[in-house]
Amino acid sequence: MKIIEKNKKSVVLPTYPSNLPYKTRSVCPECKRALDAEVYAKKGKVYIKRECPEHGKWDELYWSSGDEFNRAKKYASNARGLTNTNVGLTNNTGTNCPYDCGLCKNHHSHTALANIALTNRCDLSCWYCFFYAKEGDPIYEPSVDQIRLMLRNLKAEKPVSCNAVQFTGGEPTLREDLFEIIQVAREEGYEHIQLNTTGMTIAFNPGYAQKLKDAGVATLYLSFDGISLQTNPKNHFEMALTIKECRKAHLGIVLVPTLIKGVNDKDMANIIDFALQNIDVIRGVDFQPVSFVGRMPKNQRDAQRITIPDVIELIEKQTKGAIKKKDFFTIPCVSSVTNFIEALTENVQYSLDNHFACGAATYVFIDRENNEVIPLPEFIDVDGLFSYLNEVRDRIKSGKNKKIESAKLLLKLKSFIDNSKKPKELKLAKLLFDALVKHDYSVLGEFHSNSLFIGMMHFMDPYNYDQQRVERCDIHYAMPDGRIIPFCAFNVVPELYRDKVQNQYSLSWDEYKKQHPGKDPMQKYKRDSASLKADPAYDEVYKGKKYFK
Amino acid sequence: MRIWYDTKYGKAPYKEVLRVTFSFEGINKEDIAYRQYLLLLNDEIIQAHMEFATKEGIALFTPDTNPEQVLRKEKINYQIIDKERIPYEEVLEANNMFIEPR
Repeated sequence: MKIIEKNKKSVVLPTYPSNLPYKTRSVCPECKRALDAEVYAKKGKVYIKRECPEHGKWDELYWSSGDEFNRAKKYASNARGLTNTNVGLTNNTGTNCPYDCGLCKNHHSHTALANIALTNRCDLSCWYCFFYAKEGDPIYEPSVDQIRLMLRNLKAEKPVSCNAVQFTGGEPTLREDLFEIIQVAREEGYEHIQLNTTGMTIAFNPGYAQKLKDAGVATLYLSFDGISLQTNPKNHFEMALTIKECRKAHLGIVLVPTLIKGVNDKDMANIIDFALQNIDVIRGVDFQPVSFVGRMPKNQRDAQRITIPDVIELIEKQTKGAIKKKDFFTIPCVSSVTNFIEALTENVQYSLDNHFACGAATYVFIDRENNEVIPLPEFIDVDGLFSYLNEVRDRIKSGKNKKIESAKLLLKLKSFIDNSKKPKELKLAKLLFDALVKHDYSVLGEFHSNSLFIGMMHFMDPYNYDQQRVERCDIHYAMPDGRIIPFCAFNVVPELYRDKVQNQYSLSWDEYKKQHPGKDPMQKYKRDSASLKADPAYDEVYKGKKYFK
Repeated sequence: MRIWYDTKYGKAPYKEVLRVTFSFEGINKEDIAYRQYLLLLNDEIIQAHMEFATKEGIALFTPDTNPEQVLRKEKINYQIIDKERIPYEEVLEANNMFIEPR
């Protein structure tokens, strides 16, 4: 069989567009026509506008603060691009974005986190979820062989191969061969394996969390929309048991609240407080401002839309200033670290070069003596450190001696740390030097076990869709036909990617039932609230506020 | 009952597909992505790309499809340049970045 010629060189333009306003491409939410668009500032906020010849003007809130947008933009990084692409026999050039995926020559970022959907079955039926099979729908469950090939495909990305995979669904723990799949991911060389789950299987099957941990799962990505039954009807009670099981197994959890204005946006500090009280097992909170699915009138979107600056501001307000706006940095800010290590090692590094408007994050620590929360930027001069790392990188690249520069860095590192504010148990200068210069990343385990990651990622919908963000997306879906699709193209245009390919690779409802005798594809979880509330685990995890009273 | 076909790249829903190369006219640059989108909405089309610069497109159709019918339905002023049956395995091979078979 003839071998398809792969692109040898990325032709991605390395630079970001100019300051606001800038031109981009978007889609008409009504008909999905690809359109010229403009991202612009108005009354201190950022909007994206375009005009469809058929459906008229669309103008949508993009970021609710122009100042925050401009601050985030300072940390934008130029991605490494891909030297091999994923566009197949139709030779998609990317000119018809977003209808030209897999990853094309216009795509800037390698896959930092791959999503592989293991099933579209789920034992819950959440009203806002768009990705589970209803009665009679085809059942999508790629085979173990297909999953291996998807993993191998992601690994083949150049110059940086994928190293982190999230198995998602539906509910991935409904697959009886899940442990075999995890084993396959390990065999294919994946160092970070996480599960996107509701936690139900873990809650009600003692020992299951331990089995996951032993199999190689590093993290559970757990949906958790609030601390009350009203804000988190899905797994409010069950979360207590899930945490108990994960605690026993030392299996890390990242809470994933989907934020909807007017629904659970008042619960952010409570969620962070809850996570801090369970910091031995909860590693992070990753807020996801809601993405609108389907058609939604403008007044309803305006009522429910929440953007990254809103989230950051509300966290500052609700934590009474313990975690401030200035503590949050856009994700690609870490490129200063990546670029420095790259210069030092002369090896291309795994990088998080997504668009600066996609997300933001910080780390917080607990000062156990004073029961206080200390955000990392309180005791590290983040801007100073990044700026110094950029300087050292430039000196190394211009031919200065690496060992001398590393020694200078060691001496200089302490100047970026304010020891009077730093948690006492944290040996930060050593940790930074080990990670940056000795490339001993085991020390990062210590960092993570003492800190809570607070992040946010705003996935797009057709209303705020910006092609420039998709071109830099580094969270991708692998499909069984071999294509790799950026997250927001996969979900904003599901009719061409998610649904189309999964239909091609699905079994009909009847076939699935025939192949799995005695198994009900629609098996749903039935809650026994009284006994769940009576379980001692419930009171153990829901203790009320501690840090942000 | 769905038939699955064994390939070097795992089980596949098709044994063969139709690869159709066509030229087109009467579509302006602003509309090309949208026309490609509309084309791809057809279940009979697995993958497609229409290139404005060359005024040519390639579409992969499910094996029992009449491509003319689909293109006509989309009101594309087209001319088929080439039509061949190819193993679906070639599609999988082209989509996958690794080239070593299992």
